[in-house]
Amino acid sequence: MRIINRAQLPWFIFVVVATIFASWLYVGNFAPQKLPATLQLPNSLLQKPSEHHRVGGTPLGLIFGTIALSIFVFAALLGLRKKVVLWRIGTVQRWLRAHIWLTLLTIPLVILHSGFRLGGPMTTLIILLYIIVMVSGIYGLILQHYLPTAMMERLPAESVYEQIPHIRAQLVAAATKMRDSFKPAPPKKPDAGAPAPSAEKSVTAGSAPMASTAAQLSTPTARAKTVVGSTITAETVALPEKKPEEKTAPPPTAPAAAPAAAAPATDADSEVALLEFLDRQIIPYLSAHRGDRLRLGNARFSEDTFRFVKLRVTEGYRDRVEEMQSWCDERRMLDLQLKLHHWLHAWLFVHAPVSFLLLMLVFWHACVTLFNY
Amino acid sequence: MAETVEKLTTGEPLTIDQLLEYLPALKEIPRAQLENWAKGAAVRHHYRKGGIVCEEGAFGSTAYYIVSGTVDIFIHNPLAHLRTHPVRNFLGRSMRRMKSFLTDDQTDHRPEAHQRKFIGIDANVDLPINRPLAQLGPGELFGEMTCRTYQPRSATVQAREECVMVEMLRVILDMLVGNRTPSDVTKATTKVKMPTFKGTSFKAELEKKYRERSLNNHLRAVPLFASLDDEFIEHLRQQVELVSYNQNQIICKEGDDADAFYLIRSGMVRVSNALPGGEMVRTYLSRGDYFGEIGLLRSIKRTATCTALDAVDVVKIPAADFNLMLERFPAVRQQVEAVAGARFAAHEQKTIPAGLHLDDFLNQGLFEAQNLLLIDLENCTRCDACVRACATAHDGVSRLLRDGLRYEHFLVATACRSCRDPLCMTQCPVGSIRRKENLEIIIEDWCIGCGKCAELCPYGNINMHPLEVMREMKTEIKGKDGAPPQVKIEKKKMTAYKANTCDLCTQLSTPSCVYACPHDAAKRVDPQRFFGDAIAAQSELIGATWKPVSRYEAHRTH
Repeated sequence: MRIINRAQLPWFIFVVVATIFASWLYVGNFAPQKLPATLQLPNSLLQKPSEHHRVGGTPLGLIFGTIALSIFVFAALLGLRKKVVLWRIGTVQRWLRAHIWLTLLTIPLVILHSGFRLGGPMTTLIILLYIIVMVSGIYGLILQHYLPTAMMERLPAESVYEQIPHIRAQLVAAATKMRDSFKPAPPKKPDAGAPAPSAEKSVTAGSAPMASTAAQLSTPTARAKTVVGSTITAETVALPEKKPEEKTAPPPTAPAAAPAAAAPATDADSEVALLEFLDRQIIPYLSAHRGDRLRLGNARFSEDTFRFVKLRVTEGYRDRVEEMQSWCDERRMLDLQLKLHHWLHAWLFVHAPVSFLLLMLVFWHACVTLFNY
Repeated sequence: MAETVEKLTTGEPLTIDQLLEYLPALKEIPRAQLENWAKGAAVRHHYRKGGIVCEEGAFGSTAYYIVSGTVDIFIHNPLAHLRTHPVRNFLGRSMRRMKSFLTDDQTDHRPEAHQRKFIGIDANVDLPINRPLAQLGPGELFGEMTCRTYQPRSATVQAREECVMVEMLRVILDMLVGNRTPSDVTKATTKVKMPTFKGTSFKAELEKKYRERSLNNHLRAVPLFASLDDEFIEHLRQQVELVSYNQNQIICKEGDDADAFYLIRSGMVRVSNALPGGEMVRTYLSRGDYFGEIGLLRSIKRTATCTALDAVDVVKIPAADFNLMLERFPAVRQQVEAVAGARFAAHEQKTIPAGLHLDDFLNQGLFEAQNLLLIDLENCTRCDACVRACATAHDGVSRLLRDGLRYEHFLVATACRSCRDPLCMTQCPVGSIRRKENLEIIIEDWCIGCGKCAELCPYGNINMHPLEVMREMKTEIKGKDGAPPQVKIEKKKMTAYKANTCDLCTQLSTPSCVYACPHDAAKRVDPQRFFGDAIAAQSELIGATWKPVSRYEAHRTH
């Protein structure tokens, strides 16, 4: 519900007028000397002297209280109205408008009913709950005013909320399928005259850059080195040569420096690199409960990473990288949608139960007060 | 040939000589052509009493010729439509639940009820609307449209007695009744070059039977002709011309002189207007529908172009006979004028407002829509109250999905758009889907549940609703000790399907989705009026002409 809207003007005027009228009654009754002579209350509106000291106990205070209680009851009925959608007793939209503006009207009514005092422990508790309800409601109203537009602008395509877990599962399945499609490259045969490869050797083109991204970025130190203003630089990336069967082994933490300009990768190397990238980055990100806590959840980081990955694989594999990027982008969008959706509705988890509690206590307060009247 | 043999997997393959024995008209075709094309393209079937030849809604690609015996041709699916009502409980009408159930037009009469008296099916006979059952005997052909256009079967055919039938592929049908010129698209895509067959005396025979058996019903079924006396109907029956049109052939063109009145015998006709930048489809007409009266009545040029969507056969009533009828029967004139007036007014109303040039508006098919469910994304809190309300109002099954393309700050929700070019209506084998004047799509009682409309809707807005029904099944039990076989009739519980789509909650004052939206986000609007000002303003800036795109292309972009 957009509260700053021309359609809300009649309600706004009504609340302002009602507030002024209630205030006039209050001042006219309890502090008539503060009003100029022309604004003095007519005798018919002056309440009879009461033996009760507190404003709430006076007839005028009781009227304020009763109206506020009636509004609370009406406000609570909105929940029921939303459940019974086929009930043709005014559109839900009208009910919601009335709910919002009448409950805003209760602010002056409750203040005037209480006579600007908290009273005893019971009334203090009620006021406290009332503040929670009103603050949460106004907070929700503000969120509902701004967040829908933000969602529309930041999410170019939304999914049906209930389908988000399913779409996530599909993304993971797609990534797993791609991983399974990459066959592990055959182990390299060492040249007879060549020295045995060392574990820390700078890698040849191909798998190196790709795997290095995955390996290097997994350590905080490497991340600090490789991400400069969230841009990954080729110079800082290096990878120990790994045999395909070692692809799941944890990467060494102190790799040697890689050549500044990567040599063209071979298809086999590209596959190994992508396999590693999928295992270490993509699949964990796509299957994470909170994707925004992982690095690929950062849009700029993700874009830089994929740009870099594309440079380090052969031409034929760039489509695959783009596909992976689209998965991650989609996952990021789903996470954002989820987050905004929760923001839009989470306040209700405070507002609704506390309102119910408040209503119960207000009833109790009314019964006790009237019983002792 | 391998392809044709695969299609006829059951039955006894016929040799050319056997084929000639059953269909002597084929003797008019050169033997060489028969040897070349007809081999393996026909099979013989023997059906026992009660045997099902084909079932309504089933897909096929063959036609049947009855050699001996008679068959019942009927519609199995209940003659009813879906209606949604609040559930009644001990407190009276429930306010929380609605339930869909089957009802017929007699119990639930819908305004603007179709005035048809016969259901047009894919055979040389029509089914009376109150009791959709007819018989076909030896020498009859049925399934021609299915064979030509792969439409689902329009009715169930069951043997009344021992029957022998020839099931044939299209090539045999073409030989018998002549083939239609394929469209350019078909020509471009097909690999097999078929020879041209002009048809045989079989075609004349079929037309003769049509004149004798169905034309009378057809003419009587036209509400305009209801008050004509038998003598004049007989006169018309003798005078009318039976004309066939090929796919995409123009029957009458907008702006031409009106020279005849047309009654559709078979096939589907598209009625459209040429507008700057493209063609706008007004409606589709099927078997039993008629067109061409406005030009004759008002002595004006044709107001729309009518094109054969597939192989179309029409009954053409010359202008002279039409005018003679109007002179002799003043009641008919009044009725014709009323219908023509309504159609003309509808034509005028549907004229496009000036200045629709926006790409998005056209690419998303919004121009084609007449009633859109829009969700204002600046107001919508994604609470799904609209979806829940729709589900509650329709037996727990929502007919809208809060998903779709965006236009400006609106989401075009997945719910019936009342398209100007209602593709859902183009291939209904029994012509049971139509649109009311208030744009609501109506599924008539004789829907056979084939699902073709749901398949055709580019926006996925038609659903097939399953319902439990009791169906009568006939089974033949062999008689013991030479006693004649007996037919056992038993009722079985089966699932029938009825197409349904957004009914705009016509039983309620406002659509439930709109009524239940707490945030003033859901709106049912006429897009051209709703976006009219903005579009006009922007189109002036752009200054380009619009060009409607295919709905299918727009659909693929979803």
